[in-house]
This record gives sequence, structure tokens and C-alpha cells, in this order.
Amino acid sequence: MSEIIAGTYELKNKIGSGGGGVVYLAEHLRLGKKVVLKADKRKITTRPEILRREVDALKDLKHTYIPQVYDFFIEDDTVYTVIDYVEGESLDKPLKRGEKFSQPQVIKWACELLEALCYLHNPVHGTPPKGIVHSDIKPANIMFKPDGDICLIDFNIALALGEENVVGLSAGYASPEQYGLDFSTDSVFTESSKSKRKSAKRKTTAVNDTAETVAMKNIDETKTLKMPTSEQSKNGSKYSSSSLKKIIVPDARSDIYSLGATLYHLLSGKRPHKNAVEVEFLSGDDFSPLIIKIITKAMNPNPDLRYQSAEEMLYDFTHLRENDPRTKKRKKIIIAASMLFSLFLVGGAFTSFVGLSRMETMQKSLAFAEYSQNALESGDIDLAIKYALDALPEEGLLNPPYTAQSKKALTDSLGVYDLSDGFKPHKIVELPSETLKIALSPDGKTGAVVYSSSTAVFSTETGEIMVILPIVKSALSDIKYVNNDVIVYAGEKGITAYNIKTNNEIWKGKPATHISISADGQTVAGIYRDETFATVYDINGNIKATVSFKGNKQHILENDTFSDPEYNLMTLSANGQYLAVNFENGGLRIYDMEDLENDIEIYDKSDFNHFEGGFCGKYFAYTASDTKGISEFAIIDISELVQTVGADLDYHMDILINEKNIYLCDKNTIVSINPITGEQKETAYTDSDITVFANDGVNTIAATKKNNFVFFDEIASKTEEYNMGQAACNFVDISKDYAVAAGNDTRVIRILKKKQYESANTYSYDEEYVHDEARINKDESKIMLFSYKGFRICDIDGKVIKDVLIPNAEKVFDQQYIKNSGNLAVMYKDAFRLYSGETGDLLYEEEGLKSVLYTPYGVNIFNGTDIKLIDSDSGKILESGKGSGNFGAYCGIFVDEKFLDGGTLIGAGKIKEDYYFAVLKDEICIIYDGKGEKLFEVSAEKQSETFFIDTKVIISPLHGTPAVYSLETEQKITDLEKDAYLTYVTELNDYIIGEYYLSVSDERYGILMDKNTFETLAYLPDLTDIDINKNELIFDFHKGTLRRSRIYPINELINIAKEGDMD
Amino acid sequence: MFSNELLFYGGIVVVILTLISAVIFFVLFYVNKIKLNAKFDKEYGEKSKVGKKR
Repeated sequence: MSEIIAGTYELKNKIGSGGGGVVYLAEHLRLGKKVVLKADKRKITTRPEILRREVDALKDLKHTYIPQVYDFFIEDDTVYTVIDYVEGESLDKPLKRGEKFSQPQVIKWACELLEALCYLHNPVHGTPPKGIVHSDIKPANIMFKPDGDICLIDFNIALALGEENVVGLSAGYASPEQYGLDFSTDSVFTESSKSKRKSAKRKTTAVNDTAETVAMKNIDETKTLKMPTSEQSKNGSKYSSSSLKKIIVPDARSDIYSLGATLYHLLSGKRPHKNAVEVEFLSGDDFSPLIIKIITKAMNPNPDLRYQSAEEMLYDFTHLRENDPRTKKRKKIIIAASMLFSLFLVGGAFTSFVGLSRMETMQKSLAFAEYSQNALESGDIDLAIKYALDALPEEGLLNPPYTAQSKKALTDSLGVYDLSDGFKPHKIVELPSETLKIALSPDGKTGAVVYSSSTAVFSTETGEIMVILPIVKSALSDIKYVNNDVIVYAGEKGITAYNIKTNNEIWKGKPATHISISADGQTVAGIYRDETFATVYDINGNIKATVSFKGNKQHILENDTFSDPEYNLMTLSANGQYLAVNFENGGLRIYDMEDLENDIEIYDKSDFNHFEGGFCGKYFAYTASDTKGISEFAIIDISELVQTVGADLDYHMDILINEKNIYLCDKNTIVSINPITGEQKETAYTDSDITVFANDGVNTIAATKKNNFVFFDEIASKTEEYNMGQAACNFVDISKDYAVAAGNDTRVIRILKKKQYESANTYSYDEEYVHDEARINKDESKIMLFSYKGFRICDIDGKVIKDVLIPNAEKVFDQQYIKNSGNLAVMYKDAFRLYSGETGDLLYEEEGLKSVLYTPYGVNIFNGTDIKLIDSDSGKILESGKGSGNFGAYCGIFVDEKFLDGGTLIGAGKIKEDYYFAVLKDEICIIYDGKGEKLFEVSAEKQSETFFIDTKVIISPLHGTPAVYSLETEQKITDLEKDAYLTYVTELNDYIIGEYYLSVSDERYGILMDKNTFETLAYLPDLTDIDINKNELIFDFHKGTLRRSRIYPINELINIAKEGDMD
Repeated sequence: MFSNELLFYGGIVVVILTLISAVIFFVLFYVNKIKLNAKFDKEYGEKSKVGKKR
């Protein structure tokens, strides 16, 4: 065919034809390049200059997937477009062959096509800049190149130019609006729309009826667009009935639709239905849901619901993986998992942190509790309370619950359950160096202490040092109280009288170390070290006399830092008339101030080097010892110069004399001696030798070699005992309500204060009545004081209702007070007696028994054939049955020797309605239920007994440590207090109270324990009874009164400690 | 309720178990990702060939 067009192009062959014209393969004659010449015979109405400009715009299109438009010219009324030749075949050909393409392949082409469309639709082409719509995307217009890419060809140039009569419709690929169908959202013809239709700007043109395109006439004319009548609007009908055809100019969304339809065809191998609403969905079995979704959206009849731009659609194609439901699901899973792991990590770390914090807090708490106990033992109450509070940090997330040790530390330091009258640790005074001497004022409210080179006066109430005064640097330096306000001390510059109330010096005299003041406070005597005279002053500091020793001097070491002032005697009589002094040569003389030349010689010389003594009225008492311990003791009537009492001893005895009494300490006993008769009366008795003691006329304090110091009342009963720990107790003094104790190797002075708790008195009784225990009955109308020998019933005022002697008391092995009725059960080995708590009358009595066993639910007696359970309240028989052998009891079942099989029933209990009992055999304790079924067994010592309480059993050996076991888990919970005999166990709200008896000291006490852990919370000294109704504890100090205390919750104790109000 | 030691050691155990579980989970997750990517390659084509910009 060799036709030359425009003198440039040689037509080679026809390669296609369609509604828009014929397409030739041509060759550029000069360049030799293959091109496509598209000849369009349709009339172009556009003006030439506009035509040129638009062609130039097309020529500027440069994109990988769009063939280059090289030229555009008109020849012979034919419009020629010169386009780049694209090798390959159009995709319609393989489709016609029945080929289908893989989804990945189609996606790749889709992206390439969309890239091309993005480029085309971009409003940057030409002048003025605008986008270009292809308007005829279909497989036939997509070239499949040999390299696997595609090329979008066959632009409808006329459409690009805005021509009105150019559009060709490719059935199945053309968008509905190209057919004049308006499914847009604001159209009145949409089924759901009831809004007013906006003015339609769609136009349709006639099309050529080709194989590729469908003429408008084939479209259902009812589907053309027309302005509806008002009636039709109301009906909402989709189509008008008019046959008026409209003109549509396709926009980007039309290309989107066409592309979607093309992809549909490429995937399914089927051309989509030309009617957009009748297009079948792609099968989810064959294609990915996301691809179906994209194509479906692209092919939405409503252009408003399609992709609004090629970019949008391209975005979806290029983000298939990201938008794939599986990816989204994975994202959700990873987010959820990350959150979960983070939660667990943070939670685990936080939990661990909380646990660690609580562990550390608990360790600190336990340490502080121990510090508190140590401070308490050293007598520093304030510090003990402070540490106890430190051991109880406020409960919270990071702080564990209070430990039992901490609670006990606070309880102990506050002493809330110690209601006994007596001297209690009060304060401490800390000194710069060790104590050398100590004295209390007559009223006990101040104390004076000598240490190193000073003397300090302190308040016994506050423990604060009031004044520090310089003294002679000597171990002999002395200090004495004249009265409550005035002290005389061995001042650095001379003996000094000082008023501690006004804080000023009263008078000063000659140097002195050893000082004595007459009991009437009017005379002061002083000796300076080993001088051979004493200076005697009146109360105003005027020298009354100078007593010459005629060359004799007291026994002083060369370095008197090491001298013991207690080895020398220098003392004035009560009225100051006589002065007794011992000397280095063993002499002892009494000088008469009224007649100094006429002194009384006790010893001229002797081997004695240790003298103690003083004046008691007209008597002078002394002890004198030598280095070998040989001693003499004597009491001399000064007026008669007659020895009234005397003794030779082979050991030293300390002596303490005041104006009222003469006390002698013989090893571990202190006695007061009648100076006339020599009669001795015991004042104190300790379990180890007494090293030093003091007495204020009422109470005695004695320090022992065991580093204890012990208090005794006026009837020589021991009231308190405290331990100094590692330090020895070398100095004690007592005056009225205060006492002090110190050691010469400690810098701490302990101050104790007498406390009385009369406000806690609840009931009184005759103190003379000897009893072991005291109980109050349920309605608090009567008190019973009892022992194995008998009992006394009193009313609440202490008035005796009845005294009863228990027969054969020596055969009694157990007694139990029955709280409910106030009765007293007395158990013998072969008899049982039950006494009324109201009248003291016998409610039940039986002898000749084989066994008697008390249980909380009644008393079990067995006479060899009959087992009876006696009600402890009424004395009536609750249960009776038969048994054999030497033992019988009711424990839910009747247990006799046959059941026991060589074992011993050591206890039984009833918890709610369930019976339990324990049998000891071969050091194995077997726990049974009330049906006789064995529950579990544990090892136990001989002579044990059991207590059943709550859901636990306590196995308590006579000599050993009670242990608590759980009836539910059969596991051991804990051990209880060691070395004490557990006599009774009571459950009271959140507490368990164990009552103990210490036979060594005949001491009864209770222990308050946590109900669940059995940890000790407080000691309850002298506990005698528990008022379950009022949740109160009752104490008996055997002083004629019972005292009552409630159980303090820990928070209340903390408040008390913080407020400092312990009284 | 819970002892302090239980909280402390329990918390540590939880952290350790969580870390181990997380490692196992993420390893399995990574393996699953590789498999899914293979599926995606099969369904959507290899990633490098899709969406080349021009």
C-alpha cells in the first residue's frame, strides 16, 4: 500500500479501525521510525488556533505507559494523529482467545494504568492547564508490550479537545453516565434519595454502532435523564419517561469506571454487563476480597461512590498488603499482644517492686522492733517508743501489714497491759562519761550525778540535765542534797552549796572531796582528800569547827582517781553533833562537835580498810572489813557508849543507815535491824548476791551480781526486776516516786518512776485471802478467788458471801472455773465435785470414779461401767453410756479403754457442733473427729494436753513448747511460748489469748496472739480472767483488787504513742 | 493476702515468663509474617514490582 501522508509518513498497513477512524502503521520517511497514524474523518469544529494549542498539549504528554503523540495534522479533510508505535498486542486479543490473566499480573497492570491516569488527569496539561480524560479505556486500548508492561493507547483526541460529538461507548467498559444515566448521590433518580435533584450537567451524544461501542439507541430510553415533573419527584422514580437524550462529558471517574471494568474483564475473562447495576460481583473464591472490593468500588454506578481520582485507586492498589484484612488482623493482634505483654511486663515488674519494697520495709520493721526492745531493756522508753513507731509505717501498697513483732514492740514500750503498781522505766540521762556517784533529792524529783570532772543535776521527770557544775577531779568527789532545792558538792574551788531552783551558788568553803550533811540539814562537813582535818560548816557556810585528826588521814590511793569513796566513812549524826571518821591505820573515831577533845574511839588502829556506817538516832552502826574479808558489824548507843548489837563475820556486809532504820545486806538478803534488840526483818531477798542497795523508808532497790536491779515494797515483796544487760549496776538510789540505776562503766542513768493504776481498779477483795486465781462471773455480780485448797465467793464490793474448803485438797489435780455459770469444777483422780458459783453449794459430787476428764463442753466421768457427761453449768447429766476398762468419756462417741487401745485421751473439744478429741499413744498424738474417725497424727511429748479452738488444735506438753496445728490442713501452724505451762486458751474476736503458769516463780500471765498466725502481740502479766462480753482483760496482782483493761487496737496505740499520752 | 516474697518472686516470674512468651510470640509472628508475605506475593505479586513510580 505505500501511501505517503503529509509527505512524511508512509502508510505501511492498516492495523485497526473503530468508531473514531482507521489506524495505520506508518514509517517516518526521514527518521525511519515506526509510528501509528490515526486517521479520523469526523468533522472537527474546533478553531485551528485552539486546535494547534491542544495538539501541542497532547504532544507534551510524556509517560512510560502512554505513547508519545508526535504530531497532528489535517489532510484531505482527515485528521491525522501521529503516535508512537507500541509493539505488542492489545489485551482484547488474548481475551478473545479465552485467556485469563493472573491476579498479580492484573494488579501490576492496574498500577501502571493508574499511574498513567494520574498523569493524564493531573490538571497541568496545556493552556489553560487542565486534565485529560481518556474516556475509552478498554482492553483493546491497552497494549501488552514484550517487556511485560502495558501502554494505554487510543486517546480520544476529540474528547480531549472538548468536542461534543465524538464520544464512543464501549459496552461493558463505558460508565453509566456516558450512557446518560445518572446514579449520582444528589440525583432524584437514586432509590434512596428524596432530596431535590440538582441541575444535571450531563450530556450525551449519539454514538456509532460498532462492535466495540453501543449506540445510544440501544440504551433503554427510559433510562435517559430528564427533568422530572413534581409528581414524579414525589414518587421517587429512578428514570424519566422522556426519550430526550442528554450529553455527558466523561470525567476522571468515568475513566475509573472503565478501568475497573477492564480489570474485571482481565481477571474474570468476562466482559462486565453494560448495565452497571447488573454487573455480577467477582467471585470471592477466585480473587482476593480486596481486589474485588477495589474493582467493585471503581465500578460503582454512582460516580460519587467510586474512587474520585486515579490517585485514590492507585493508593489502594499499592497498599494491598497494608489494607489486606489479614494484615489488619495481624496488626490488631500485634497491638493487642504488645499491649498484653506490656501489661504483664509492667504488672510483673510493679508487683516485684511492690514485693521488694514490702520485703525491705518488713526487714526494716523487724529491725526497728528489735531496736525498740533493746531500747526498752536499756530503760530508754522514749527511744523504744520511737523505734516502735518506726517499725509501724503507715499501711499502704508499698508497706506490708504490721508485723506481730512491731505491734508487740509498741505494746511493750507503752506498757499498756502492765497495770501493776510499781517502778517502771521512765527516762534515761546520757552523760559524757561514766558515772562515779549518784544521789536523788528527798522528793525524788531531781538527781545529781558525778562523772569525770563535773557534776550534773537532772530532772527525773524529763530526764533533762538542768545544770553542770565543775568539781574536783577525783573519784572521791562527793555530792549531797541538803534539801530538795540545795545541793552541796565538791566544787573545783571549794565545797559549794548550790541552789538548783534559782540556779545560783549559795556559799563556798574550803576544798573538800568527801562530804557529809546532817539529817536536819543544818550542818555540813567536808574532808579534802587525805587531809588530816575536817571542816564543819553551818547551813550558811560559816565554819563551825575544824576537826583535827591529829595526823591521821583517811585511806586514799596515791592516784585518787582509782580510790573507792565507799571504803571511807565520814558521816554526821542527825543533829550534826557527832562526826564519825575512819582512818588509813584502821582507826575509827566519833568526834563530838561540842567537845572535840573528847572523841569516841571505836578503833585506834586495826587491819580494817573498808568502813561503812552512819547514825540512826542515838545509835551509830558500822561495818568494818579487811582485805581478807574479815568483818565486824556493830551498833553502838552513843549516849551510853554501849554496843547493843554486834557480829563477827568472815565476809563483808554492806550497811545502809538513815534516821529511821539500819539496813544490813547479807549476800542476797537485806534486813532491817532493830538497834536495841537486834531483831531482823527481811526487807529484800534476791536470787543472787546484792552489790548495792538503797531504801527510802518504804521501797527498796537492790542491784545484784547478775546485773539486775530489783524493787521491793514495804512488805519485802518483789515488785519489779530489770536487767542492765552487759553493764553492771553499781549505783542505785530511790526516793519517793523515783529511782535511779547506773553502772560505773556506762554513761547512761536509768530513771524509773512509780506508777499506779488505781483508775483501772474494778473489784476489790481481802488481800489476805490466799488464792491462785480470781474470776468474775458472767453478770459481774460475784468474784471467785480459788485454789486447790478452797474458794471464796465475794460480791463486787469484796464482801464475802461464802468460804468453802475443798475436801482432800491434796488429791485435786485440776480445777476449772465455768465462766457461764460461775461454777467451779474440781477434778480428782477418782472423784468429781461441782460447786455453785452463786452460793458455793455442791451441785454435783461423785466418788469412786475410774476417770475424770474436763472438757469445755462438760465434765466426763467414768465409774467403770457408766460414762457420764456432766453439764458444768447445771450439774445435770447430758450424755450417758457404757464403757469398759479404766477410762471413759463422751467425745461425740463414747470413748473407753477399748477404743484407746493403750493410748491416753489428752483432750477433747467441741467446735460449733463438731466434736474432736486427741489420743496420745507412744508419743504420737492422734486427732479424731466426733465419729471416731482418725483425722491426722503428729508427734507429741508424754504428758501433753490439747486445746481445741476455732479450726485449730494446740498440743501442749507439760514441759515443752506448745504447737498449733490446723484441723483443716493438718499442718503445723507455729510453736507457742516456750518453757511455760499453757493452762487455758480463749478466742476473743481477732485474738487468741493463752494463759500460762510458770511454776518456778509462781507466776501467771497471758499472751495476746494473732488469731490466724498465733504470733505474740503482747504480754499480759498477771492476767487472771477474760471478759468475753466486753472484750476486756482482767488482772490480779494479789493486792486486793482486780484491774481491768480493754484490748487496744494497734491504731489506737499508735495514736497514743504519737501524742505521748500514756497516762 | 499474698506474702511479700510471693509478690517479689512472683513478679519476677511473671516478667520472665512474659519475656519468654513475647520472644516466642514474636518469633512465631515473624514466621507467620514471612508466610503471609509469600501468600501476598502469590496474590498480589512481588512487592517490588507493584506500584513503581514514574
